[in-house]
Amino acid sequence: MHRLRAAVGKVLDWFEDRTGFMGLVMPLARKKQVPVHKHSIWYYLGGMLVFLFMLQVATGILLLFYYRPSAEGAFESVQFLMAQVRFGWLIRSIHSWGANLMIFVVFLHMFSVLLLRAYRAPRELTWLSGVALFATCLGLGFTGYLLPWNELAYFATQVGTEIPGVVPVVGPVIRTMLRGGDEVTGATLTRFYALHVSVLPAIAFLLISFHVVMVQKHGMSVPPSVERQGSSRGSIPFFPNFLLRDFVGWLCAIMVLASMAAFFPAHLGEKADPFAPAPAGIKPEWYFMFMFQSLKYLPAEILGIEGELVGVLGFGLLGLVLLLVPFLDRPDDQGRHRKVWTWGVYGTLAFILFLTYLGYTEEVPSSQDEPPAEAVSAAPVSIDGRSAAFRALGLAIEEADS
Amino acid sequence: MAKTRLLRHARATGLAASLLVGQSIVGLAAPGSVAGQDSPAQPCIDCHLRQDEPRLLEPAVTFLDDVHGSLGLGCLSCHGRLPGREIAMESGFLSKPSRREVAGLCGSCHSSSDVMSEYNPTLPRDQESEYWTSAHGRRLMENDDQGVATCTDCHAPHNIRSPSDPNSTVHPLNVADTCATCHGDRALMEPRNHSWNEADDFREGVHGVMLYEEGDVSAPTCNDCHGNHGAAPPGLSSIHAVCGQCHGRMDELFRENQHDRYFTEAGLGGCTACHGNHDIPSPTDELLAEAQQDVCRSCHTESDPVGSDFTLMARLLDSLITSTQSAEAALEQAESLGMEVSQAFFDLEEAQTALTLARASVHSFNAETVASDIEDGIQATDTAQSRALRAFGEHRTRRVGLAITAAIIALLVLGLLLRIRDLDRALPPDVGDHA
Amino acid sequence: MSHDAPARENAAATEPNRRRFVDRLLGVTTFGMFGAILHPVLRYLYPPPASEASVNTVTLPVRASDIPANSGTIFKFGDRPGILVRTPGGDLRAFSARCTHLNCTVQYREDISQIWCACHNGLFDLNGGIAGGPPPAPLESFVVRLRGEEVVVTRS
Repeated sequence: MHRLRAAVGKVLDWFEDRTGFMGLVMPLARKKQVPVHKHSIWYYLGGMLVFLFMLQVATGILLLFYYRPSAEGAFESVQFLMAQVRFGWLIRSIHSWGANLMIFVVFLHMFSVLLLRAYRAPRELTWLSGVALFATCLGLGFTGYLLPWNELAYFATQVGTEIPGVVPVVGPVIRTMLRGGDEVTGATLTRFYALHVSVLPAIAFLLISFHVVMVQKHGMSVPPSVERQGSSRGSIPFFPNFLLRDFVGWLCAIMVLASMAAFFPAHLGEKADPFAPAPAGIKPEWYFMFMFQSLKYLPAEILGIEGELVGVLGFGLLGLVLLLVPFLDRPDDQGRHRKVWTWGVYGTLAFILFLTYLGYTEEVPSSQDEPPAEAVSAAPVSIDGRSAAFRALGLAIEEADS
Repeated sequence: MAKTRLLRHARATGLAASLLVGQSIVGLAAPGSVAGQDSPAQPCIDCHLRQDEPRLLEPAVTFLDDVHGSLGLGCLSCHGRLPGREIAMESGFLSKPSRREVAGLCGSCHSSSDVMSEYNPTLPRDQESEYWTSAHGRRLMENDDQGVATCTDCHAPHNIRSPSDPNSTVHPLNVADTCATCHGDRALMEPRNHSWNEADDFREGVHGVMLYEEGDVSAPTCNDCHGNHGAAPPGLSSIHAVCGQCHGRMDELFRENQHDRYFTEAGLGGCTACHGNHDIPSPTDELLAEAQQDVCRSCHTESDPVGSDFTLMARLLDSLITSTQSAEAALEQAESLGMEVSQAFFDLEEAQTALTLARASVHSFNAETVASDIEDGIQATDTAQSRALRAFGEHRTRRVGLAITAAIIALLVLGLLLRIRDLDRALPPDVGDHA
Repeated sequence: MSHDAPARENAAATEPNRRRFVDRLLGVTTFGMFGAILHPVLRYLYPPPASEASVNTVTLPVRASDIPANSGTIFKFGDRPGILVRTPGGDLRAFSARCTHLNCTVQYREDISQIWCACHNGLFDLNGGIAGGPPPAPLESFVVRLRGEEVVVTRS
């Protein structure tokens, strides 16, 4: 045992003599301190996300061994993976559940940073790269959802790619770019595949690297409330004290994902049939639910502008505000931040939670509750083909009901 | 109703129609050999379109769509062909063939190879001679019954269309209605000692449901069993042959075991003894029990041991159905656990095929034949069952694997926590709570 | 993993027995963890016995030389049945096994060397064409190719 350890040590030393890698990294790691206070728990989320991202990359690469990105073969290859390939169910379920967990943690991470004002100067760039990462993760979720080419994903993508189409002038161009044509077809699948396995992961990797380097440069942000009260209880070294705690969290994440995979394996459903009517109860992934739901509630016209357009622009504006938070939320002369931002964040959170709740509890509308079909088809939206995505969906549900 | 609509239409478009008809018929004046007369049809059409009486107006309007009209044949092709009864326009006399003359008139072209080769080479030439052998033709010929159908009763005169035309009176979907104009008319049927509910019965039977509710035009209608031009009820001994056109396996088995002969001797019509004729119900396995009590007992008395064979066949069918159901339930359960069993579901379809074959084999009246089909089916359900069991096992294995992983992770976490505690103890004392 | 450095670092802080136990625990469980991850991954990467099926191509689980002349077998093609026939002349042919009449599964009749549907006596010849009975259309035919002993059926 000792001899083995000595041998391993010798090999490592041999490499270290030539690369000097540990000599570069270790001082940095040792220097890094993690503050200890009542909000320290939120510091774990960043590391958790790095871990989950690596897990997604690893399981994603494994899935590539069997996946075939074509409308003819995608569903069958996933079915084959689930039925014939040993542990195929495990890899795919972990990838699918891992994606959900990752996006959930992204939300937590972002809201904790917002509420603890960790975006304060000089950490604006960290925040900007973080928002970009948030968008990248949503993009990964959206593109990955279509890849099994099953019925639910097909129609959810149909609706999802319809949304940017409402924006005047550029909308239809963006929609056609996304779909690789006028409709969601096999061309869309190959596009989404390219985005999902190469473009977006590469972007995510670059952003994560930048994000982590920035965090390393500025150190962990201590919340203003803690700073003011002086309630910090000092700090612990990142290496190894904090990193070992990270390991515990990661292991727990593995455990959660493995359990979900064993008890609730990822579904496959029916193969997508572009000519079939949309089945009732099409829902987007849960993280898009609040947007889906709020667009549904918008009236057909607001102040003479198409309702969906208002909604899409509204969410665009929300995204812009989110991006610019560090520049908009300036402290006053005494270094105090305005409470209105905190309330704004809580308000947004409440809005998201409430609409998500509505999205999952709302009954599928019966045909009596729907507006008469004539009224819908008479709306200018439908005539020029840029049919409002959600109204179209409502119609489809009605058809499926009757 | 249809007639009044037609009339209104005709009046509204009188001019247009007459122009159209003129174009299609004048100049195409019936070809020499067939028409017999060379006078163009236009004067007939012109005059008839001005008539108010539907009987006189209708032929001029509907002839436009008639197959003969579209082939360029004119009015005189038929109405001018009865020797000595040529149309004499001046005198106002019009030739209308009597019911006895109709078949011969049609046959003058339709039985002629020369004429038919020119117009419709694939059409059989024996339609007229068949007609004279039909129940209709014989009654007309022998009893001079003027109430029986002749060509023009089934093929709307002046609007004869191809059977594949959905508007044709002889399109599969319309045949039963066409037959029922007479055969559903009690006043016509009762005096002739004929029942009048066959068409209604047919509509309720399995073939009628296939035809009308499921729109399967390959389902048989009246003429598929009774023939058309030679329409006659199949004799007792030929019923199975008629049904056997489609239900071949049953017919084959039925003939092999000579029940055919026994049935005929007993005055039972092969298939119809159990299945009925017009209102044939969709066959169920209960039929076996019903037949056993009812039809079978008319020959096989209580002391006859054959009764046990029937019970056995019923039980065999039932056993395959039950085991298919339980295999399906097992696979569904496996599927609900998230296991992928589509191949097993697919293979289970073999059991369904076996059941279909076994049900056909019932017509051998031999339990052993049924048993061999059932055996194939049971084999398929057994395979499905074992696949489901394997899926359950795999599902258990997954949880065992999960438990092992959980144990490893728990121990690893424990080790890490112990190590963290050691590390934190070694930190300078100012860090109090190690969150 | 990373327990070597801290172990050395804190050597003086804790009693040696306990520390050795934690070391062992961490060592063994880390090893176990690698096993728990590597085992499924390696099993996953090893190709499964059945070759992949797709909508357009299927490799049948039979060897070409095991199929006798004048015989037919049903196989799964996507989610529908197909029928592979070896003609009395020795050719291999494949068709959709769904009767075009009412979707019953057809079968091969050795006695008449035709494809037969038990439901309503539909008959198809060995080119898939209608040879009798109520079927309204011929059976869809597939392309059969041999890759060594493997029978590969492709939708043309």
